[in-house]
Parts: sequence; C-alpha cells; structure tokens
Amino acid sequence: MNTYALLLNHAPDRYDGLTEDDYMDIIKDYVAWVEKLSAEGTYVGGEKLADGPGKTLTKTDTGIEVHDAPMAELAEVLGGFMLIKAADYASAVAIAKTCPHMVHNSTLEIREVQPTD
Amino acid sequence: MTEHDNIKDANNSTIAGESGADGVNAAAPQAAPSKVIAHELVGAQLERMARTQRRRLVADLVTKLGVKRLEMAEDVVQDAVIAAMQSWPFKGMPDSPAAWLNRVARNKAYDRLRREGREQSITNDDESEHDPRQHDDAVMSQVADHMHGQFYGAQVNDPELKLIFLCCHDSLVEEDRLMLTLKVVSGFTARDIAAVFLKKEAAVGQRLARAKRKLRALDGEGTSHDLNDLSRFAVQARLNTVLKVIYLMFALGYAPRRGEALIQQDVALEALRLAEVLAGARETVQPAVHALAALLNLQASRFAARTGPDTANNDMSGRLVLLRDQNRALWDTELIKRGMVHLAMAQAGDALSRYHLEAGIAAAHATAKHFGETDWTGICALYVRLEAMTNSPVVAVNACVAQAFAGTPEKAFLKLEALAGAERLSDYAPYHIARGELLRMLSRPIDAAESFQAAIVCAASAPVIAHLQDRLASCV
Repeated sequence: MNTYALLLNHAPDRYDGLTEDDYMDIIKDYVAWVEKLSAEGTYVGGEKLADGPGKTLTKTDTGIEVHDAPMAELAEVLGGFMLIKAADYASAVAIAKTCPHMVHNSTLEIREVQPTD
Repeated sequence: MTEHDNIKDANNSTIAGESGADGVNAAAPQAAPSKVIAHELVGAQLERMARTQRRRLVADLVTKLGVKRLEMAEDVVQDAVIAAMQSWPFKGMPDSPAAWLNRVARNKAYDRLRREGREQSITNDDESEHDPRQHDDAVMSQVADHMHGQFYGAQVNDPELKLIFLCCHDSLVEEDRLMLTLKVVSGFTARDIAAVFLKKEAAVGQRLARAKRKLRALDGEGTSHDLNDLSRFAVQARLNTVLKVIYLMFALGYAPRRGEALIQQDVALEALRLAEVLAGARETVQPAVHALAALLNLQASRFAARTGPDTANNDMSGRLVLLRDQNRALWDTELIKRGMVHLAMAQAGDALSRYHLEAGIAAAHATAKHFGETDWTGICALYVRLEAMTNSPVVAVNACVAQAFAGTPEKAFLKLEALAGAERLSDYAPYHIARGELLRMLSRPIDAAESFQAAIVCAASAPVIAHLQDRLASCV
C-alpha cells in the first residue's frame, strides 16, 4: 500500500463572494468524502493552505530575492492537499475520481509519496 | 513508464465508470458499515453546528465575557464556524464538533482580549520600554477570571436563558426585545425575523443594529444588568417577554414562510427546550410558563405527521399535510402526554394567559382520535376568548376556520370578509389559504382558486407552495 498526495487546485476567485450557505453545501461534500475514506482506513490526512499569496524565493547572482507569489496571474492555485492510501496509481486515480473536488473544481493532481522501504 | 500509461488509460477509459468503482474497492480495506458515515448525516451535523451550536456558544461566551462583549462573542463564534468549514474538509469531523468549536471560539476570544489589552496599553502607556509579557500575564489572569471564575447571585442558570433575559432588557421596547432575542440568541437572520413580523427586511436590520447599540451603551451606566446579577425581580419583570420570545421562536421553527424546509425542527425544539427549562426552574415557574410548555409540546407532537414524502429528495420534507389528512398514529404520544401534564399544572391559580387558551385548542386537537371527532364547538369557544384577549387579525383568521368546521361556513366567511381590510393581512399567506378553503366549502371553486393563487404569491416555504398547487388543481 502506497501513499498518494492529492493536490487540490482551484481558480483564484473560486470561493470569493460565496454565501455561507453556498460554501456549506460544498463543504458538506468534502467532509462526507473524507469521513467515508477515513472509515475505510484509506484517508491519511490533509491540510488546507491559507488563502492569499505565498512567497517565492529566487536565487540570483547577488543573493536571494523574496517575492509575493504572483497568485492573481495564475489560472489556478494550490488550495490544499490530502494524503490517501492506495495500492497503485490506478487505484489512487479511481479514488480521486470520486473526490468532490472534481465536482466543485476542475483540476486535481496526484503524486505518489516516495516509499521509504 | 507503464505506470504513467496506466493513468492515461484510466483517465481515457472511464469518466465515472465501472473500473473507477472497482478501483476504490480494491484499494480500500473492508470497513465496518457502522463506521461509514452517511452523506446526509454529515450534512445534518454540519447544519446543526451552524445553527444550534452557534447560538449556544454565543450565549455561553456572553455569560462569561459580559454583556459589553456581545458582539465580540458573535464574531469569535462566527470565526470558529468558518475555521471549522476550512479545516474539516481536510481533517474530517472532530470527535466532538461542539467541543472543537467551543475550544476554537474561546481561543479566539483570548486572542481578542489580549489584543484589546495591548491596544489599551499602547494608548494609555507612553513608556516605550514596557514588558509586553508582563502585561499579557495580567490580561490572561483577567481572562481566566472571566472564564473560570465562580459566579454568585445568578438566578437563572442556563446560559441561553440568561442571554434571552438580557435581550429582554426593560429599556428596549417589546418588539425590539423580541427581534434582538431571535437574532442574538437564536441566530435568525433579519429576513427570517422580517417574515415573522410581517415587516421589511431592511427595517428589521436597522432596528436590530439600534437595539444592540442601546444595549451596549447601557453597559457604561452602572445599571445592574450584568447577566450574572439578574435579580429575582428583574426575572419576574421580564418573564412575559421571554415567554413571548420562546413562543415566536417556536412559531418560526414550526412554520417558516420562506426557504425549502417546512420545519426547521431544531429551532422549534430549541424553543420547546427553553420552555421546559423555565417550567423546571424555581425562579421562573408560573402557570403561564406551564401553559406555554403545554402548547409547545402539543404542537411539536405533530412534527412527524405534518409533512409528506418528497419523492425527488427522498425525504419527508416534501409536502404540507393538513391536520385533517394527518396520520394520527404518527403523533408523538410522549409529547402529548407531557403537554397534558403541563396543561394540568397550568390550572393552578387564577391567571389566564393566551397560552392557556392556545394550549386548550391544541389539546382539543391532540385528544381527538379522528378529524371527525374534533370538538369544534369547544375550540370555537376558546377562540372567542382568545380573540377578545389578543385582538389579533391572525387569531381571527384561525377562528373563522374553526367556525367553518363547527358547521357554519357561511357565517365564518362573512366574518373573514369583514377582516379583509385589516392591516398586513393581504401579505399573510394563511389568510388567503383560509379564504380559499372556506370558498371551497361554499362550492365557489373559481374564487377559491384566486385565493390560493394569492397565497402562493405571498412568501411561503416550498412545501407550502407544493401543497397550494395541489389545492389549486383541485379547484379546476
């Protein structure tokens, strides 16, 4: 059994101006999905990334420059990640397809976590 | 490379196909069915969090932080709910959502109090070299006193009841007290409150803001209105308003006039709970309290029978079922029993409240085995007294319906027509519904259809509209 990271991308303005009720309707799907996977023993964990631009470090000849990550110019931003257990990529893909992220957003990236043994 | 090809294949071959489902099964160890939390259950828990727990937390925090921090309490609880909505989709539900919210809200309150203290020290203290840590400690111990200190002199112990008594402050006019309680204690929106008061939403919003300002301003005046100093006298003085608030809260939960849910059962049951607490507390128990508790128990007993199945959503929120069509086997006999006990206890003393009369009417319905056995004559007699006591056009509308069922629909209709000019009735769906039903009884289907159409135009919840469309169809 390997661990896979689901990287959840969304449009920068995806959650702007939503009413609490609208937001809650989306949240319900995600929470129910995480609960289901947890009950099945498939869910490892996850974190939401804070909204707003992050920082980008760039090494130059003179040193390290720090910039605000240019969020607004991107079509999508990384909103958070989840870790799941799956036998292989095919299973991970199958699980990820049931993720409500693919209902409420349009992109999800899967990366296998490097096994340690 | 083969792995990558597999992914491509999986992506291309199915969108939501069989192999996807198989993949889940292959990947997931067999789960104990009891641990699999149904989607609906999660949804219900989240909604309960957003409603019931939000107002309970506000009440709890205000009790601990004091009246002048009412808005802070509302804010930190709102922040905690948002934090939950951001965290739980990635972490899943905590074991105890209520405890989680409580902890987060309290921590946010700590932070705010600490910041408040720091800002004060910046404005009050010119010495730039002061030790912020020392100051923090002082603030924190103050917070700890707030949070864990022993309070004495409290007459009413339930934090929500205390908050209701606060909102029913003597310096507010009665309507403001009602609105403020519905907003602050129950978490209703200005729109909900506007619907129950038959007023405009914007006007309600302004009144709420004004009432809150007034309450805050009082805090500086040395008048004792600290929640924990509520004297026995103040409790007695405000009890009637409190009863009215609980009554309205139940009405809001029982028959919302907009939105999708016919019964916001949580809200109504919360009102029932508060009435039971009042009836059970030495400081607040009175005949009128028992009468209100009787009324709410008897009304709540019909919850399960009031709505029919909704085939689209596969739940029981689809359709309003009228009293005469209800399956009386679905009535909750336990609540009826409790209601009748309260009604008996309400007979002590001479005091007669509108709750006595309404509970009497509800009891007449609850004890009739079939709709045909309903004691309409007795109900009409109670309505006559209720009308005289309340002088309310809404009561008069209901009295007309009872009169029609008692066997004199012509007289009832004439009386209803005489009410037509009454202020606010033209926007009141039940008035048009009653008119439609009476006209049907009088074999005037075309006029009846017109009334049902007028009722649909008024703000009504989806199940009520569904019911009215059925009635409309029956008039053709």
